[in-house]
Amino acid sequence: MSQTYGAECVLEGEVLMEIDTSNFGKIDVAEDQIFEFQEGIIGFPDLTRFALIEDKEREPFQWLQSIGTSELAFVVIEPRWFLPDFNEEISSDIISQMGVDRPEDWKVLVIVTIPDEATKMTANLKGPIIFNPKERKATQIVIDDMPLQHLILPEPE
Amino acid sequence: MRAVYPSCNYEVDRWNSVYGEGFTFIPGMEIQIVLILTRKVGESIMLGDQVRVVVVDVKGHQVRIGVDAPREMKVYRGEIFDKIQEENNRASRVDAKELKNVANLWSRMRAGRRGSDGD
Repeated sequence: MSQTYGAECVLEGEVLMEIDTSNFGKIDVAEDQIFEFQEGIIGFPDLTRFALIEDKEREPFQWLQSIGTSELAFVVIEPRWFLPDFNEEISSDIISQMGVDRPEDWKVLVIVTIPDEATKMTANLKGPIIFNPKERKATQIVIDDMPLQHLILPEPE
Repeated sequence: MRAVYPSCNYEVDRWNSVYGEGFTFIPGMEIQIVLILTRKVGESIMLGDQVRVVVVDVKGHQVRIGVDAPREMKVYRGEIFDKIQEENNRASRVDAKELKNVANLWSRMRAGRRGSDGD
């Protein structure tokens, strides 16, 4: 079986879908990696289907790949890797904006911007993406008092 | 009615005299103005059948606006929406090779930090 990104454990009979990506060419993704963004992502309202792809060579960074627009992919990362309390801090925002009572049913990832100087890469904490793995839906929410560009790597001393 | 927000000053004055000041549009950006309404405190605007925008209070240059909308409708401050849109655009221009370097850097830094904790 050919190399799959992120679909490590393919169960008997699990449906795989082939998608086109400009970073990795054509790859197979499993159903549970595909998320529906009802209103797209802010600035891309028509792109409603994305695949969340792990990448062993670049962990803990993952890819949020548009299904249908091969050249559009975002680098994402779970903020707990550099801000252990982030999910807790925004749980009331998740509850009010998503209308859910259990933020622990959700996974939070943030979009990474990599400037020319890669060490200055930043995470967008103002617009985190909330994933609901059970319903395979996701949405980008807005947290007013979080920074738009949070440095992921500490400043050199 | 489609319009292009003017990019030179004399056009901006003409624009402002017709539409009023205070829009935060980018010069040259094409926008669609559906309607411009003047409201008094307490009056409202309906957007479709489910969204009501009310002028709650006016104090000097600040307007308090109330929004009554279904729970699943997103309501954003315009400038924050614009900032996130711009950042999303910047972030979408990434290349896989660049990220490989970044991930290596990440591993090295974390290994370095563990080392300096005296492990």
